[in-house]
Amino acid sequence: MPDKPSDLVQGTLDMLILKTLALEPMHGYGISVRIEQMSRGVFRLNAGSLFLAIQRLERDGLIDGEWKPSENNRRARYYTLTAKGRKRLDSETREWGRQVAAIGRILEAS
Amino acid sequence: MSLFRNFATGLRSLFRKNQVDRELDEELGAYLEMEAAEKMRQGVSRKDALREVRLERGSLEVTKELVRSGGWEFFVETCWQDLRFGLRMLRKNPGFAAVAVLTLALGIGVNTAIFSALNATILRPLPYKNPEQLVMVWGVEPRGCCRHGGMVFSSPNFLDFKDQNRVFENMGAFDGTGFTLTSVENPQKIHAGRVTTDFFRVLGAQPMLGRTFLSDENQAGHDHVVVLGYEMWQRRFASDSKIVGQTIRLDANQYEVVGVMPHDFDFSIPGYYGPMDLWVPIVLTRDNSERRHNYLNVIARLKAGVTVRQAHAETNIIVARLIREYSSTTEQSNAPPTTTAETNEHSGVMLGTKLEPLRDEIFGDVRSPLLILFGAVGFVLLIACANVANLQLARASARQKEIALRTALGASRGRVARQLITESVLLALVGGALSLLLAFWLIKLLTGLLPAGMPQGTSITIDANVLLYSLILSLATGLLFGLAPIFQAFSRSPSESLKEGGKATATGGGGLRLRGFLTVSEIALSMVLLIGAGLLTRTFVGLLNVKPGFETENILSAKVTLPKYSYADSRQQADFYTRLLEAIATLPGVKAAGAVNDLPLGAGRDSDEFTIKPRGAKDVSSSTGSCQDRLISPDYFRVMNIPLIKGRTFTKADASSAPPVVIISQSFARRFFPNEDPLGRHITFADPAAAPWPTIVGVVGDVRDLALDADPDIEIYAPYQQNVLPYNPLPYMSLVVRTVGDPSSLTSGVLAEIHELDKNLPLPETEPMTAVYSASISARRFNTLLLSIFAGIATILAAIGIYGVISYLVTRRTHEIGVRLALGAEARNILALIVGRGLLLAIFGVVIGLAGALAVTRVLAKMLFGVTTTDPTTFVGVSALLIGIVLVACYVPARRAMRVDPMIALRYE
Repeated sequence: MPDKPSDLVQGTLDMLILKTLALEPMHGYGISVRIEQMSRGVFRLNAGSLFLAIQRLERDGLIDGEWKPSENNRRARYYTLTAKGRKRLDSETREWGRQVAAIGRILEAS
Repeated sequence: MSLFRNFATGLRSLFRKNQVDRELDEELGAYLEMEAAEKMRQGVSRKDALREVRLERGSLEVTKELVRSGGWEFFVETCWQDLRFGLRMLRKNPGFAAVAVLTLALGIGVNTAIFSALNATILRPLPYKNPEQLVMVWGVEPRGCCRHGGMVFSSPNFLDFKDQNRVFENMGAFDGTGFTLTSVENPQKIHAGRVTTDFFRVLGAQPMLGRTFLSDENQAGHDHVVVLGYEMWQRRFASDSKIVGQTIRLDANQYEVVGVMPHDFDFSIPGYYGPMDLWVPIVLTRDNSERRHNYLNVIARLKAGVTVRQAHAETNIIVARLIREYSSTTEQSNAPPTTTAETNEHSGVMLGTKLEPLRDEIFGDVRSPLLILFGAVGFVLLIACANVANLQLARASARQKEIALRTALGASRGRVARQLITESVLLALVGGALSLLLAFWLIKLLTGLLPAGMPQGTSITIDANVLLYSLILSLATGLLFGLAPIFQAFSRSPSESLKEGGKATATGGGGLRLRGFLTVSEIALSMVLLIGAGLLTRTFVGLLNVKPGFETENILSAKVTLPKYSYADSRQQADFYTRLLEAIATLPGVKAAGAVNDLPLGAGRDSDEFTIKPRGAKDVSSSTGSCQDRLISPDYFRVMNIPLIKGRTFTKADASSAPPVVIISQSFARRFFPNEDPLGRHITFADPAAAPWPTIVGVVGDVRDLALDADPDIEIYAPYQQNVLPYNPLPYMSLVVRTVGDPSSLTSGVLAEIHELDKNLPLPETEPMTAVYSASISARRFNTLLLSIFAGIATILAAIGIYGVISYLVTRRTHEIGVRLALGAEARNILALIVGRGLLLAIFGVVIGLAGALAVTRVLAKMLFGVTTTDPTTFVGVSALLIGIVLVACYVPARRAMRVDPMIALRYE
């Protein structure tokens, strides 16, 4: 059994969703599975926060939603990263990298 | 872009709610299915898989609610829900809704009405270029007198000011005159402004057609040009766009129309300068002999950056220079000047200057009364708020359970507060909408009552500003009284309320304390208003008891104007009046007929400078001053019932050929002839060098000629047949006719006599002297009446408020009263219990109100006459009145308490 899933660092969910969608267009379930896989089970998303974030990103024009048939022949809403979303992902990734490096330096100082 | 997208999606969820909901359902359904399918692949049963997903990922319903509440449209939607719920609640409680809405409509309505009056007057921008630079310039005179703002200017004085000052960009002078328009079918009396050619440029007013005056049109011979007012142009010249260049006849002289002013140009100043039909140039002179003839009102435009104070300093310097230059030229006797003040009096020039911004000049008289009324209606609204808050509190106790339930089911405090506020604001908005009807009606009433001092051309209407004000006021009101139920709702824990089963019983003291506080505030506020109204009423009653010094009953007045073209000189004019008075005196129902140029308490007045002749060569006591002067017919004193104190009145023998005579008023005699007999002394308005000096032949009683609340000015009367003034004052006279019965019944008879003598004369306006008298106090009547109405409304609202609180108290304590009665308490103990409670609130309120009134009535100081701002009679009387009203309001519910049947009350639980 892996450890109990952790809570996400505040404000990083949007970035993770954008990153997931940068690989390929995906529906809500796919996003949550992908995040879980990539984090090796550390992050497990609650449906509420996932769909709230999706709604917010879509309204901000960072992702686009489109109804498409899913693998099991139902309709699912697939989300694609927009150009604006890609730009946002880049800048947030850079900022994140800067912050992680800085925090790392602080924590490693002895 | 994304803002727009957000907005568009939001709108879509608002208006295509079902579809958006279905889509969300489908999306979440798919999510659930996919995850469940994944679990089933690992061998879990479908039922267990679905359950597990719900456990791990959260309930789908909660998710849906969460997603829905994420957008802005959710806020709109819940507001809409609250609104519909609020409406349902109001419909379920029509009694509460009606009382609350009516109370609010009353409170907001009076505010809207008074605001619209403010909006039409002191908030209205003056229709001139940079109006804040415009000031009226007045002279200061040693013995406070003269016109509206101070002493007016003579032509040479004005020109000297205009030349010598460096603070004004431009200066203009104006006065008014009457003309008869003769180029039309029925000769018509019109009001003409005589203005310097710069006048329109000073104001920065542009003509609508043609031009204003050219600078050389102030020369005699070039001055027969006229600028028409918009209304005159529209009414008499049918809005003829080719009117410029045509000639019209004024007093039988040809005038060329050079321009027409636009609709919004209405230069008038309440009190002394009414709206004009047209304007003609005034011819000015530098002739030193005219230096004493003061008749010009002066307006000036400050240079940019110059303050009123700086300008004032400069104009005072100019006055000082003029005094130095001219005091000796008019000083005839070789008596050495004793004091500077006396020297100045000799100068014919003013002592100093006074600058008054044009805005203050126009609105000064109405500003403070209107602001006071505005404050008063603010109080009324606060009381209305307190009342509605009280009503809501009573209802809130009944709703305690509903609110507790909502909280228990997970509604946040903010959410509950929002719902309560929405309901309050809804009430306020409905009240606000209804208030417009009330305001509309009140404005009609206001317009009918408008005092004479109101700026001319003021039309009070409900415009966009007023509507906006009313809307904002309604919202603010809703928020204000909406606080009370919220305060109450959160004062107890939900579990407590639920346990009680929704019955508000003996606990909940917080609500009662709040209601007590509201009631005390209501009483205190009404107290302040009632004291204000009381002071004004006592002032007004005091004024009505002032003896004006003449009789007003059974006198008809008629102002007759003789056109210059048919009555060129004062002898012709005097002749006409003499014949007219003789004819009128013989009318049946007429006791006596007289005439005077300016009616006492009327709008017109004139003051002139006089010089008293020393008794002999050795006498150095010669003095000058200025006083009211009235030209009268011999019978004037008899008609007006002004008592003769000494000497004789005028007779027909005092004709133009006879030696000139004057009569002085008692206070004149007291001031200038103390301890000596004024009869036989000589006094003149003309150049002291000129002969002959008129002789004082009589002393008459003082008359409150300027206003009932002003001390009588010193006064000189002269017979109208003799022209003792330096100018011709006779183009108009007011007839005064003493009648046997109702003076109005003689109107047609008097008019017929005038027509009989001259068919071409424009017919005069007639009014009973009582109307002149009451017009002189119309502003006070207006303020007193309005403040009394508002204080009355406030008191009634406060009485309703205290009645509500005491009724509530009785209902809540029915059980307790039942127990008391069962244990042997007597009915009067119960009465004392209930009324005592009301009395306590009343005394608190009255004490706070008294303190408040002491602090606030100072603003009324200028409007009072004969009473002080802390008049004990008013303060004590109003306190007693208010406590009495409170006792009556308590008595009704207290009686109900006395009649409680212990058996029923005990079973009531």
